[in-house]
Amino acid sequence: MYSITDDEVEYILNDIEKRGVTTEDVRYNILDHVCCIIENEFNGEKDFTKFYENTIARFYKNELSEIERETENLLTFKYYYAMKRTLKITGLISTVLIAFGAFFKVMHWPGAGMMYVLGFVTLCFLFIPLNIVLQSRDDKKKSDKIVMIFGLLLAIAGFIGLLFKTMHWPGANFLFFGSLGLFGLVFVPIYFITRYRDPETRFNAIIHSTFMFAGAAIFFGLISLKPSLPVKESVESLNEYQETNIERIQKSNKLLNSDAKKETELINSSQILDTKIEAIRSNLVAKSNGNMGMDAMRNSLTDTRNPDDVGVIVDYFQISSDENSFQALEKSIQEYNEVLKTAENAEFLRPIDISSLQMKNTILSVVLLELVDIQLQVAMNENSYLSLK
Amino acid sequence: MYICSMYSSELIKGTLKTIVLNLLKDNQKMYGYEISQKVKSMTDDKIQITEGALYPTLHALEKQGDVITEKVYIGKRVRKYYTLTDQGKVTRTERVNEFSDFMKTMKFLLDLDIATPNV
Repeated sequence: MYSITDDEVEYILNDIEKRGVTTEDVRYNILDHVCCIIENEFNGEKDFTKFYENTIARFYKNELSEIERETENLLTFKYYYAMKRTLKITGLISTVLIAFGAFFKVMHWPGAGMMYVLGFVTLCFLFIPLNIVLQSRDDKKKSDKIVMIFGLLLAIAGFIGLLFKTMHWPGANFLFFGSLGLFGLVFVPIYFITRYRDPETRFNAIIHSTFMFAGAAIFFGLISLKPSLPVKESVESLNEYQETNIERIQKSNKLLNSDAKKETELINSSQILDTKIEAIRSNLVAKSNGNMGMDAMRNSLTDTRNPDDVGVIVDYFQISSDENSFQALEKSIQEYNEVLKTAENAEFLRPIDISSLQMKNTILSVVLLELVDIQLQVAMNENSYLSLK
Repeated sequence: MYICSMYSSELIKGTLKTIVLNLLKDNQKMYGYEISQKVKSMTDDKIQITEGALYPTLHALEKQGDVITEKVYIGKRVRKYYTLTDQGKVTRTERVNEFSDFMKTMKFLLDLDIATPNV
């Protein structure tokens, strides 16, 4: 029996460490085993290093650290099935919640938002992360794993963006279009290149990449879809028509009033309300366009960069309580209506019924049209008042 | 991949824990190399447990509480001796009985004429 020296033990231990075995326990187990083999099988005649190299090669298929990985796998094995089961359950739950959420949303039934949020949260924070963990444990090539994990992370960002977009939350476009762009322009090419290299996956690489790229492009087109040009133009022409009418009536009012030369309470009140609405329109257009200062001249529908802006209505009209808010408008209209009631010939004047206008949770262009309509009514009342005097 | 023998690895996969637990029951205290040599000699080289399969299994058994270890220092080396715990004894009986039952079923299923081992 060969008696192994301390130097040789040291050499073996260092080599095991160099081969990537980090756990002390595993390292000492391998060391003792190798030493036992050498003691029993080495006769001292041949080269020690060579004999050791041949011996250690019996321990693995590709590299020594396999033993450590296998140990980790066995230790976490019992969680493996639990994870797979959770994966299946969360997959089912999120699919059902999102499908029902979408249906409820289309039907405008209550609970749609909650189902949507829960479904997406389950999908993004349980189903996909579990997928990532299980994918990384798979026997696949390292490059394949990295590509898959990158794709799944993009999926998380994309789904969160989609949820934000559906719920009209801020940051949706950045998340959604960012991840969609990365998916189409980075992920799909990488996926294609890595899969195409392997003759076994070459055919599928072509099919999958084509589908994914086409899907991303179609999705991009659908999501960025805006109302068609004729629709946009017709809404804008309506707005222009209204504004011309207001101008005409206001001119005629001035003529009527120049004869009367009277500053009555109603005329003052009309002017106050008209100025208020002009200010609100300027504020909304400026905020939506991202202008810091207010430009009183730019307050028409044609001045807006994004007529479909909902956020600006919610943030600067609905929720806020400053001088340009819905709340302030309501107060001004109330004051105007009070004056209107006490004016001469009040029975021929029409108070403004703001409650019949849907001004909340809607798009900027609609609110602008509604505001112009209120101005039109104010001018009409003033006109009737002055004509009947 | 990990169990080198004259049998296919699919056939032996899953029995390694049972083999180790049973060996420890008969021999009280053993270390890794001893276990692999014992299996080799008992089966006339028909089953050779590779190191890549043995140590992960021993670690898993230790983590599950079926075996306890005792470290013995031999110069710069550390040798770990494995001993069955009370829980390990129960696990061994369960696994051996399960395997015996499985063999009976297989025997019936494949219509074989082999002797059932005594447990």
